[in-house]
Amino acid sequence: MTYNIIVGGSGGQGVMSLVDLLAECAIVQEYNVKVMKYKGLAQRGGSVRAFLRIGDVESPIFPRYSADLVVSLELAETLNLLEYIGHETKVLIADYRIPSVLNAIGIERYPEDLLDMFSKSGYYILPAERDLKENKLPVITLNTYMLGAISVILSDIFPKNLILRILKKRLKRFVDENILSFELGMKRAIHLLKAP
Amino acid sequence: MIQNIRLMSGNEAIARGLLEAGVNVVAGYPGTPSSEVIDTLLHDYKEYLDRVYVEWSVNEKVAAELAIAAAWAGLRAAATMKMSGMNVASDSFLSAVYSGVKGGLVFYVADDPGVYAGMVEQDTRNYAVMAPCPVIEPRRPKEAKNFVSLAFNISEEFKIPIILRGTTVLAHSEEPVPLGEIRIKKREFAFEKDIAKYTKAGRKIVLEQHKETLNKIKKIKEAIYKRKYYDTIGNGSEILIITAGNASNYVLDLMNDLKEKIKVLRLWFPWPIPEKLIEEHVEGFTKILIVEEIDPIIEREVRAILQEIGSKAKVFGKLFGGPIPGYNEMTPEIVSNALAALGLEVRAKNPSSNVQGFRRPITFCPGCPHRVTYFALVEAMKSLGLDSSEIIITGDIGCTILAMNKPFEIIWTELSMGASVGLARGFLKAGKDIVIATVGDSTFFHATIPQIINAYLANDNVKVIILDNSWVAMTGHQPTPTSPITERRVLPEKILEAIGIETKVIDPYDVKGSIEAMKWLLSSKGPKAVVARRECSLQAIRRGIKGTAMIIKDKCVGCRLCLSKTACMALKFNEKEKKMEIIKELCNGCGLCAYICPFDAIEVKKP
Repeated sequence: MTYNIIVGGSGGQGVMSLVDLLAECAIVQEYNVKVMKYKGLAQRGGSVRAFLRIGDVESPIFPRYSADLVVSLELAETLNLLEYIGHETKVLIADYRIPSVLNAIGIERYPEDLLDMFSKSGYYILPAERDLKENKLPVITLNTYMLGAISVILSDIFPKNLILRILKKRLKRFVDENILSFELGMKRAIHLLKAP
Repeated sequence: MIQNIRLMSGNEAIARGLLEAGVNVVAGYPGTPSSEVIDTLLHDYKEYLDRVYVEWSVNEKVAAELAIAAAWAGLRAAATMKMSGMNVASDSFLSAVYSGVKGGLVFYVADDPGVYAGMVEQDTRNYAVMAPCPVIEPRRPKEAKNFVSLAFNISEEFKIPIILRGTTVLAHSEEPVPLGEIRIKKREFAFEKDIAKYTKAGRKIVLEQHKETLNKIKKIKEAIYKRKYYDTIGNGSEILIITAGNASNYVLDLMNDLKEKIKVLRLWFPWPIPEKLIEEHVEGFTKILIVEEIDPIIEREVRAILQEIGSKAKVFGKLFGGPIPGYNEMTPEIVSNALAALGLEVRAKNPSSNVQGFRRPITFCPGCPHRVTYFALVEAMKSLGLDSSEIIITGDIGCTILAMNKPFEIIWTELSMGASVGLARGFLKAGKDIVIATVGDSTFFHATIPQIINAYLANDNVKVIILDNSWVAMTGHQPTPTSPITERRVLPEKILEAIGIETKVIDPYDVKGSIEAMKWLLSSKGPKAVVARRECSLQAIRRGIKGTAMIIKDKCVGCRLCLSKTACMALKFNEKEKKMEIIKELCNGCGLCAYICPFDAIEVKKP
């Protein structure tokens, strides 16, 4: 078995720690893993991405259009991950928007119609910004929210109980908030799976 | 997780490998993608630091010389740097190769194919060819750890420095790595005076050293061949692929589909290459594909060997319009396209869509003191009637260069460490009346002081702005001589004053005072400097130094001037309320937005 995952987002959103956790989860189950983190300029408002490969492979990078799972922690960042999305790829997107510098200073507009375009393609879009706000959960827990969704979409490799055990071991602050976000993401994903 | 296996990046594995090999001295200068080796030693292996000397040096030449002398004295020593740093260290490195070593000497140099954080796609293996010395290139973290020991052994056995070549993917990819035993070994000082070896006293001595080095390379080639320091994979007979390093992973991932058709020769040492090794492996093949990252080092060598042995096999690679591009990093697609060009179709997946990506250019972080410094510079230029489309502002390496991006876009040049002042002087000689040079603190110490001395001697009208955030911020906050962590600090203004350059020190969080200082700088005659000192806000916040700001909602009219002038990511426009918001966790109270706001709608709490 080989499983190719790529996670993307804007710097500071927790892409790297999300991938660390998924990697540990796979290692505990004695899968081989390879991780590659493109993190160089993360803290200066740039895009970040990380590859995770599970199974017997040599390279941490997989070919284009051959991801099994794509996770985007920011809506427009999904556009930067399209080159890994093939016809069988599962795509999980957080509807959370972080304008770029170009958007902020009014040179470019944040792309519109993304929700429409992505849902037509059959991608799973989670209303992350709304869910977190309504439940008064800090933005910093967005990655655990998505983790909850991953535990539903890919429950065979990332079973809920195992993820929660590793998550609890790793968390240093906002423990309760992260657990709540995780469960919220789970519920949302279950809901999405049921939807026609 | 199993106790003796740890998920490690290539750089972390190399750090561990150094300790397992019993290294005594490690020195380096930070540079992506090499920095985590020393970071890891300093943070994760503190308990060994009383027995292993580890240092962030002021530049790579400093690190190189420390390591060279330690190796001459019989210790195991390593220097770490990015590819550009090797250029700085090379003066000493190349000379040290002629002299040879007693203890093992390993230079870990990380190249950046694809230019994720660099200025050039420099292939450091060229230094091995030039020196000449062996270069070893691991393909994965686990192997990187083991190759450190092998590199030390080869270096000691053949008494020659060795390059351990990394690339971005090797350095920053991770896999579970089995841990070996850390064996700290104290080695006695054993340097002996030997003028014929450790000096360059006359051409006879130097030529003898060169001749001896060539002999060593010959012996190393025999060792590589006899001890099988290479792998062969697959037993196909259509195409022979010769490869090394991370690039070989993309080939190996295709083996499931192609093992009947291709055979792979994976070199541990991309240089030197034993002739016999190539001669043996090319037998029966008519097509040879070379897969390596950046320059055609292996390819040139293989072509030369084939010509020498009179082989008719055709070589495909980067040279002579080959199927592999001469630039950019290796990818799975490049390998499969090259194979397709040689008649082997590889199963490829198709895109599901074809839409343009989302651009997210990097900028100053919220609270970055540099943002205020550049703002103050622009304001001062405006108030003095200096046209920013006429005045050249040179940039340097590090976070200070971000003023080349929006919203400032005022930096004209980026060349290399220290070049801000060097280029400024050239523009003055070529006809400009005034040039502004901007440089960070670490870059100032690294390579800018000689240029400033020349500027003083020539009384050049160069205006030097040293943006001192007290850390090597861009590469992950390694310490600089100004870092507020020890009693021993070196401050740029002391050096500038000693040279004879009149200097003002400002706090960028004082916006008004900073603008005044910039006006003084620009209107005075001759070489002058401003040191803008304020700790990097990311690091300050980590150390518990945190300010913030808040919007006074009644006063905010939603004009967004604060956002468009600063592009600060702590500022967010609330579309519903049509007013600004401040993201408290990000804001560090630099006060620039409050200074800009025409309605006094922002209240600042300075850190």
